[in-house]
Amino acid sequence: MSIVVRDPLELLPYLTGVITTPKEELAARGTQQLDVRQRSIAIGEPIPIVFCRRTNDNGGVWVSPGASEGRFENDNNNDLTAYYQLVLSEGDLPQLPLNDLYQGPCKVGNYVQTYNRRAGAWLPGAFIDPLDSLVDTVQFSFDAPGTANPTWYNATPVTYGFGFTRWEFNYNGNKHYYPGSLSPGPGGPVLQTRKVTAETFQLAEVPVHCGTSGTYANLTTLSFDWIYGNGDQRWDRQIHAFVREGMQVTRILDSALGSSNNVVDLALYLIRQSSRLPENMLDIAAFTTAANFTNTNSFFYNGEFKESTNLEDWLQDISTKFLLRVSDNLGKKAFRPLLPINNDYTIKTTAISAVFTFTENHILPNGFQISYIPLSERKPICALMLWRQQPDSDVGIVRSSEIRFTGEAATGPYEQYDLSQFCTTENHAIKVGAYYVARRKYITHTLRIRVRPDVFNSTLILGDIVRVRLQRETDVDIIDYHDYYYQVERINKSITGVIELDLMHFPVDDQNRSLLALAVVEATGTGYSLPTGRNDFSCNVNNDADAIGDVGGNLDLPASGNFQTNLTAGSEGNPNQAINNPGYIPNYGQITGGTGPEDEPVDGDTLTAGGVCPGGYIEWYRCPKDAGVFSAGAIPPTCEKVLEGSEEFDYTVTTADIDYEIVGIGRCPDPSTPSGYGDAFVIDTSKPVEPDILSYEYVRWTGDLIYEGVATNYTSSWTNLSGFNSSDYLTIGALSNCSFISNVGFIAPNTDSRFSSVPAIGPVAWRAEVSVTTSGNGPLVGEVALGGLGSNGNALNTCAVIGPSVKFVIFSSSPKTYSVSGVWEFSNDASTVLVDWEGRTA
Amino acid sequence: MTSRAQSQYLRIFDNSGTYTRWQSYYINQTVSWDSGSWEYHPFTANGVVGGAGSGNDITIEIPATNEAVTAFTAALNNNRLCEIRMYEFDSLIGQSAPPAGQTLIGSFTGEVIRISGSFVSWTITIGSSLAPVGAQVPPRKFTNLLIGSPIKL
Repeated sequence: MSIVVRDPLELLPYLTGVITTPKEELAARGTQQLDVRQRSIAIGEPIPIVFCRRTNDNGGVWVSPGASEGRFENDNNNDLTAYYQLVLSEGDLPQLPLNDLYQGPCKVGNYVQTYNRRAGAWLPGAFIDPLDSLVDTVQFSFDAPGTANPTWYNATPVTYGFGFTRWEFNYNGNKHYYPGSLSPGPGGPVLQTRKVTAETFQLAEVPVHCGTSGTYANLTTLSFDWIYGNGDQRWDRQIHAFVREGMQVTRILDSALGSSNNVVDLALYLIRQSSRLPENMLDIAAFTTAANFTNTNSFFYNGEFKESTNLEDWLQDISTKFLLRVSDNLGKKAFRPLLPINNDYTIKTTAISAVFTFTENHILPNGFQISYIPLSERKPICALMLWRQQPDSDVGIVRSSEIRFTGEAATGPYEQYDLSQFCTTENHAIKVGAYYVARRKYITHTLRIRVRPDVFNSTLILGDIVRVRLQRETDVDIIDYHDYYYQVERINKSITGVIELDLMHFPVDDQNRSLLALAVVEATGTGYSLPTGRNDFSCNVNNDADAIGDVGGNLDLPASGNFQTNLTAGSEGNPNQAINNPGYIPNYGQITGGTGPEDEPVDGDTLTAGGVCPGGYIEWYRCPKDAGVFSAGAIPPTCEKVLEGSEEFDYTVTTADIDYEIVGIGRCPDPSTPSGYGDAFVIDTSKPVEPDILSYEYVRWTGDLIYEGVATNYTSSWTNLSGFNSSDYLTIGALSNCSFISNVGFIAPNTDSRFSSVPAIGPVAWRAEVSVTTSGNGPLVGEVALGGLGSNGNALNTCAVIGPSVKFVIFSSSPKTYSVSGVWEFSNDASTVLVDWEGRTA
Repeated sequence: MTSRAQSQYLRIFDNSGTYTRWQSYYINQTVSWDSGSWEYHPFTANGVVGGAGSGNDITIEIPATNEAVTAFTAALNNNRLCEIRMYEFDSLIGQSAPPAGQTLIGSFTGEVIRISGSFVSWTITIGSSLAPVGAQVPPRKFTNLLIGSPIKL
C-alpha cells in the first residue's frame, strides 16, 4: 500500500483554523434597529433560533421577531387596537417577563406567550370603520384639553319648540348641553367638546392582508395587542423582546433540559437537527471537554441564529471564535480546544511536556517536509474585535476592542472579527483577539514527517504535543538542531506500518510554556461599560417583571395535505429483458383468452401470450392435436406458422384453426445476437380450437360406420341449434349390450373380457368418434351396438340401429374392430357446410 | 515485538445492528475476533486515522465481487455506517489466527459516502455526509403549514 498524501502541507494552517483571516469586513452583525416598522415574516426564511442564557448579569439577546398575523380595529373614537402574532424562536422558550417586552423603545403592550401553538385567541383581519355616521356630530370628553388620546362620547341633537337646536349628552344620568353648560355636573366635569368633521378621524392605513393561521409546531409564539389613540401612528412599530433564557435544549454538561449559552450545545443541536451525521459519528467525550472549556473560560453564546448557512462552514467559523477547532477523530466529529488545557479546563500556562520525541532514528528517508506560513499571514496586525455589550433588558450596544502587541501595528493593519451576534463578554472577545494576533506572531511553520512505527503507534492521539529533534550536520565543526514542539494535527497509519504525521508548530518559551496560551490568558478586557445614551424612559408603561401568561390555541389549522406531496418510492430491479447470458430463465407465461367451457379457444377468440419480455419476438404456430410436446428448437414440420413479429402478443383464432392447437414461441431481446433476439422458448400450448357452436344455426354428424374394416358413409339430418344453450350438446354414444332391439346397458372400459378396447360411457359432449375392438379371448357370445346420435346424453336406440350406429354379434376368436368415425358439420342454412369439427374426445 | 504485522478489519452496520464482518489478512479463512466471525475478503484501506479540520475521509480498495457490490451499494443507499479497524501484532505468533494480545492502533467510523472504480475494482470512500456546500442551518424554514399566509405589513 502506498501512502496517500491527502492535502498539501501548506493548507494545514487553514484546515486547522490557525489562519482565519476574514474574507470581508462589514458593519457589526449584532447591530439592531429600534424604532422601525414591524417586520413581516416571509415564507421560506429560516426560523430563528434564540440561543442564550443570562448568567451573572451577562448575556441574553435582544430579538425583533417577525409577525405572521395581525388584527386591526377601531372604535367610535377611532382608537385603533392593533394585534400581532409573532414568532420568537424555534423550540420552547421560558415565559418572558412583561417588562422585557418593547414596542419600539417603549415597554408597552399586552402580551401572552405560548409554545407549539398560536398565542392569544383573536382572529386576524382588518376591521376599520370609516366612522362616516359620526361626521357633523358633537362629542364631549371628561379629559382636559391637551390630554393625549382623550375619550370622546357622542352627543344627540335636540331641537326645541322655538326652533333652537343644541346638542345634548347624557352621562351617568346627568345631562349636559352644547352649547351650554359644560360643567359642573354630577357625572364629573365635562372639560371639552368638539364638532366632528371629516378631518377629525385620522384613519390608520392598516394592512389589508392580515395573514392566516398555521400550526406553529415547535415554535414559541408571542401575541401582542395595544390601543392607539386617534391619529397615533405608532401602531406599526417593531416589537422587541429581551430574551434572558433562550431555546431549551438538553445541556451537555448537566444533562438538564433548559436554556444554554454553551456553543457546544448549539452545535450539537444543529448537527442533530440537520440529520447529516448519525449519533455514532459524534465524539461526545470530546464535545464534553470542549463544552467544559468554553464554560470554564466564560466563552458564552448569546445570540439569535437566523442566517442560513452551510453547517460545516458554520462549525469551522464559530469554533475559532470560541478558541475551539473542528476535529475528525477516528471519523467522529468533535470540537477540540485550540490551546492546551489543565484538568479543570482552564488554559494551561505551565510547562508543556512532549508525549514522544522523534529523532533521526524515527524519520524515514524523504520523510521530512516543512512549510512556513507565508508572510501575509505573519505580519503583525491589530485585531479589531466587535462584540456586544448587553445591558439588562435593553438593546445591545456593539462594542469594538483593539488588540495588538505593544509597539506593533499601532496604526494598523486592522483585521476585523465580528463576534457581536453572540459574544456579550468583553474578555471573550479580547482573548479571541489575543489568539488571532499571537498565532500570527508565534506559529511559524507546519511539518509533515514519515516515521517508522514504535511504541507510540498505539498511544499517540490527535492533539498530543510531540517534540521533533533532528540533528543537522552541514559543517565539520558545527552541529545544529531542528528542535521544536508540535501539536499532532493528523495521523495517517498505513497498512505497511509507515506513520505519517502532520504537525503544527507549538511555540513555547524557555520554560516550555505555550506562548499562545500565555498571550490569551494575559489578555483581559478593561471592564468599561459604555453608556446606552438613553435618558428618557417616560414612554414605558409595563414595569411589572412577572412572567406573561401562557394563552393560546389553534385557529383554522391548515391541512397538511394542502402543502405536502408524498411520493411513493418504487422498488428498483434489473431490466426485465432477457439477454443471452448463461443461466437466464425465461419467465414462462400462459396463453389465455379461450372462451370455451373449459377455456378452449373458439373461433373469433383473441389469444394472448403472457410472460414474454417487453420488446420480445413472438411466433404463433398452428399444430395438429397429435403433435405432442416439443421444444422451441424442434418445432414439428406439421406445425404451421400463422403469425410472427415483435411484441405480437395477441393472436385471433379463425375457423381454420379448428381442431388444431395454438403454440406460442417467444424470444427476448438480445443485443449481442445478429437477429437482436435471444434463444426461443415455448411460451404455452393452447387446448384444441373448437367452433363457436352457438354462432351457427345447424349441426349434423357425418362420417363412416366401419364394420370389420368395411365402411359405410352416413350423414345425419341437420339439428337446429336455435334452442341450444352453452351446456347443450350432441354426442356419439357408447357401447351397449343389446337384447334384440333394446339397449340393456352400457359397457364401460375394462369391465368386459370380450373387448380389448371400449369407449368411455360418457356421455362425452360433442364426441364425434367411437371405436371398439374385441379381444377374441372372452366368451364368444352376445350382441352389442356402438354409437348412435344422442342429444344431451348417449343415444338409447343404438340396438335398433337408428342413426350413426354399428351393431354386431361377437363370435370370432380373432380381434375385430368396429367404429363410428366422423365429424360435426355446422351450417347456417342447413345446406352449406361452413365448418368441420372433429369433436371432443373427453 | 520481534516482527511487526498489521491487519485490517471491516464492519458494515445495517439497520438491525447486525453487520458484515470482513478481514483481509488471513487468506481464505474465517477467523474469530472480538466476539465475532470475520470472513476473508480482500481489501486495503488507507490509514488516515483522523485529523483537525474536516473531510478526513478514508478510502478502501476492494474487488468488485457480488458480495462487495451488494454490501456497499446497500450501505450507500441506506446511510449505513462502516468501521475500519487496524491491529498491530507479532507476526511470529499471529499467522494462523488473530493473537489475543494484538493492539488496536487505529479505527475509523464513517458512512459510505462515495463509490467509484472499474468493473473489477471499487474505491469506497468512508467519511461524513456533512455536505460542504448548501445551506443546512438553521434547519427549519417558515412554511404555509406552520404560519399560513403571513401578514403583509
